[in-house]
Amino acid sequence: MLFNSFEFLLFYIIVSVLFFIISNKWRWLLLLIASYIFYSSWSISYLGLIVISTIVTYYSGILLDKQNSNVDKPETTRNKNKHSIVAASLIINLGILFFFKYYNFAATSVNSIIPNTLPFIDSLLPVVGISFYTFQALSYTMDVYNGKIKAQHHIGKYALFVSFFPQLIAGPIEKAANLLPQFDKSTKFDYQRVRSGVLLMVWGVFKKVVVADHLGIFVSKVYENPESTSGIIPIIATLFFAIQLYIDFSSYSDIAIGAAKVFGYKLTINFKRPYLSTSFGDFWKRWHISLNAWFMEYLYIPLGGNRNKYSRTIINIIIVFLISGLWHGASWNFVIWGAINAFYLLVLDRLLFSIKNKKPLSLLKKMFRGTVIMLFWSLSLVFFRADNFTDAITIYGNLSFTDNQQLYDFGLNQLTFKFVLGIFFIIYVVELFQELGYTSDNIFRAPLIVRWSIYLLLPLAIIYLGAYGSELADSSFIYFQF
Amino acid sequence: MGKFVLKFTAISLILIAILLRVELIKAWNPLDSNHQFIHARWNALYDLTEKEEIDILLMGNSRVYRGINPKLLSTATSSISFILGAPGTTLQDTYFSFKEILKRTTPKILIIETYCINGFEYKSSSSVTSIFKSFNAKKDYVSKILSTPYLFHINHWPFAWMNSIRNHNYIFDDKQDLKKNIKDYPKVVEQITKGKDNKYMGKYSLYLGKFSGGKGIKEDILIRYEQDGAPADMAKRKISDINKYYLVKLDELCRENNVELAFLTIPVYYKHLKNYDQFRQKLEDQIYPLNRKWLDLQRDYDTNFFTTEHFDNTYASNQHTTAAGSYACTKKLVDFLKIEFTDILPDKSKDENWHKLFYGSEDYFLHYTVNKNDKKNKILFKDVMLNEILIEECGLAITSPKYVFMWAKLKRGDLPADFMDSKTLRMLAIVNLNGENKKVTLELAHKPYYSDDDLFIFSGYLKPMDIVQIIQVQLHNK
Repeated sequence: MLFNSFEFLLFYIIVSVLFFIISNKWRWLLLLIASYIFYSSWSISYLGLIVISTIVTYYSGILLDKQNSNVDKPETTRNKNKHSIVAASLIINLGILFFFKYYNFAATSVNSIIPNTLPFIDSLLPVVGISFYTFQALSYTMDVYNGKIKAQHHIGKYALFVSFFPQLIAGPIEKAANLLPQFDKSTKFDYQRVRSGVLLMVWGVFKKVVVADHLGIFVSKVYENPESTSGIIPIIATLFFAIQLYIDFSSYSDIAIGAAKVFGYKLTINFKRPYLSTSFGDFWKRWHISLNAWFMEYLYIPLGGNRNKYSRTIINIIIVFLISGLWHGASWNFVIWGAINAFYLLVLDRLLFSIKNKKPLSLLKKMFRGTVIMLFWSLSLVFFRADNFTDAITIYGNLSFTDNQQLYDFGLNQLTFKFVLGIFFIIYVVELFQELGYTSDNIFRAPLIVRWSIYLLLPLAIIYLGAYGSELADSSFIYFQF
Repeated sequence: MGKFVLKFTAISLILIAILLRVELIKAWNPLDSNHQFIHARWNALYDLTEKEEIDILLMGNSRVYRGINPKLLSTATSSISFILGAPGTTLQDTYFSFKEILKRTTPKILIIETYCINGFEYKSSSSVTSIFKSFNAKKDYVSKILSTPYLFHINHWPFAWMNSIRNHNYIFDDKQDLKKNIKDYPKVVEQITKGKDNKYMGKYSLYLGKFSGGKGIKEDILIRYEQDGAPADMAKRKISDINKYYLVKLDELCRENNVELAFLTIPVYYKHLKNYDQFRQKLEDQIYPLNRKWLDLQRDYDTNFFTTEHFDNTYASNQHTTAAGSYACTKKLVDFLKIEFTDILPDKSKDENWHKLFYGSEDYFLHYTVNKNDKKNKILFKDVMLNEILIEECGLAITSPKYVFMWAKLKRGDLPADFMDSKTLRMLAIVNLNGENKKVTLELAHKPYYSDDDLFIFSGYLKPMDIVQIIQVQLHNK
């Protein structure tokens, strides 16, 4: 059930109406049932995995809480027990994640060194959103372990925390301290909030189907046959992919945040205009914020962060980026992509964007720096998008500024090409205004004619200007695969 | 909440109004012939069933409307037959279409062409585009609403109900078509709904669902058959569970409504496929338990009867029959029906309305004669002996401004069925061309698919001319 589908539209309307009809007391149950239905729409067999993850982390939280509050036992014993509990939770959850996401990759890698060591399992299909909910559930276990939060004793509400449908498939990865207490709050229908949430959802769908999916046609055509394209075409495709990835993922986050906002729940902002970053360091504070915060809190800081020698800090950063790369996909390409971005952060940032004066930069400078960062980022994304190492190298080898192929032979005709770039330009301008502090409230304060034009034009554009594929091929959000 | 609901409803209503307005312009309706013909077929069916009952209904995919000539089938069996085929359709689509037809008419026999018993998966994108077209042409909104959840995935509902949404990409891809549609709105509607002025439909107002064309297999394709082998491997062809399910449902529906269900397999050129027996086995597993009749022209391929001129000149996996091929298949089907469904087939040869319906078509004159007061079509001569063979009738029909249709019916007597296979009928005639009388030689070929136990039929299409007199007739060896 994709967010940009008619099925989700009906599903969401029904859930929203029921949500505001029933009493506060039972809303968690409605949302839990809705979340499980939502998740089952991909495959009913996936549901078992999320239930296992929920039960394991729920009981590990309860047991950890008991250890925290059991002052009768010596601290060393309690710590030992806590270690065992958290280790068990990590092993089970990461074990499931590893098996379903990385086993075949590991088997292929091992077999390439020592042939026929591990069997390849054909029937092992990617589990939608497993990386997201596993990380979210684990963050809960570790927060209870660290005593940052108390364990949730209501298993239904905890199950909802792990499976809350707006952010289940592709984040934002929420911390229990943020989301769980919101399920206990009594929310009332608030006109301003609901209107703002709905508009954010519509804006997200608009960006996804009108821009990202159109760009995706061109990108796919080029990357499906990398050896058959050369010159400026792979350069354009790579730049397009950088735009597509951002629009696609940020639109998903917009829809997720908007959908939760309607119910009265506030999700973490996942993107803050990364293509207006002032440095690579700044970029990682603006791109996929919830994941980077997770890695920062649960990997980088436990590794020592920047508290030790600088050489150790460098190693910590490299480890985080390599694991972050692997989180994105079971392929060496993603590891290389992570390594390139570690290099950008550690080397390029110092060379290009060393900021001695910490004064905020002007918008123009942000635009310039953001564009430079986007160009370097695009280069790293060749490994992210290419199906394998050979394809990535082929793309790099074919990059040049010669114009030896027809631009409009790759799925987008001249009109579509110009149109999509035009809409992207509008989105970029909107982001410039957001960077200056404008919000959707500015729309709501605009004259009636402006507001209603936006309310009508966005859905009409989604219907008539979206890319749905001439063969009605399904499209999906890029980050679902992670 | 009330304020939000009110505004949300108002915006939704405005949006729906805009969508409906755009839909009603029909600007997003494709002008491709497939789309037009599905509309034309359904419209013709609605029109016909206002006055008449359909006796033989044929359903299936493109192979059935390319493979059977419904006028010839009707005139040869003295009944009314109709083809409601849709390109690339599935059995589930066929089932719901037949349900809708049953509200208007109850055919005596429903014939399913077996190529629509295929491997298309339930609600898959690959099969759904063809179902959209036939769904779009149906007019019974209650049936459409009830069948929507069965035919389409929920995400396809808006596409099923609105061409403007399904074909919205015309804005980018097909601006010319879009502009043309908007500019020539009434003409476009006429084209889409009636299939007007289309060469494939013929010039008669009575349209029974056929679509024929093609000129037969050429040398280049024959060489490919020899060099590369058969392009279609039937061993790979599957029957999906959903098609198996709807086959049983269709059978039940027929039994409930006292309709005889039969199956027909239109052939492709015998060198065009391999391993047909393996697919045939899969079909048998589904069809035999139903205990229904099945005419399989592929298994029982008649190499003398189905020649290269009967099939499209294509090496692509699917192959259709040409107009000549459709006549050949129809002849086989007529023979099959006369043997298997003698008691069920109605005899409308005494029905004045039936004659009115078919009078004027070339197919009609092969089985019946020209009316005495007909000023357009005429009998040139009757009851003439030629080499001890009686020429019962020779006539001329005006079929179009470009052609006339000429036929001759020769009594078969005790002669074998293949006696005339290599013969033509040559006639020396005086014709009036542009006001001047000239002597010309006319030649009619023997048409085995028109001939029957009683008559040998010779026929041909000629340039428009007024035949003043036939001077001499002779049988000529090719």
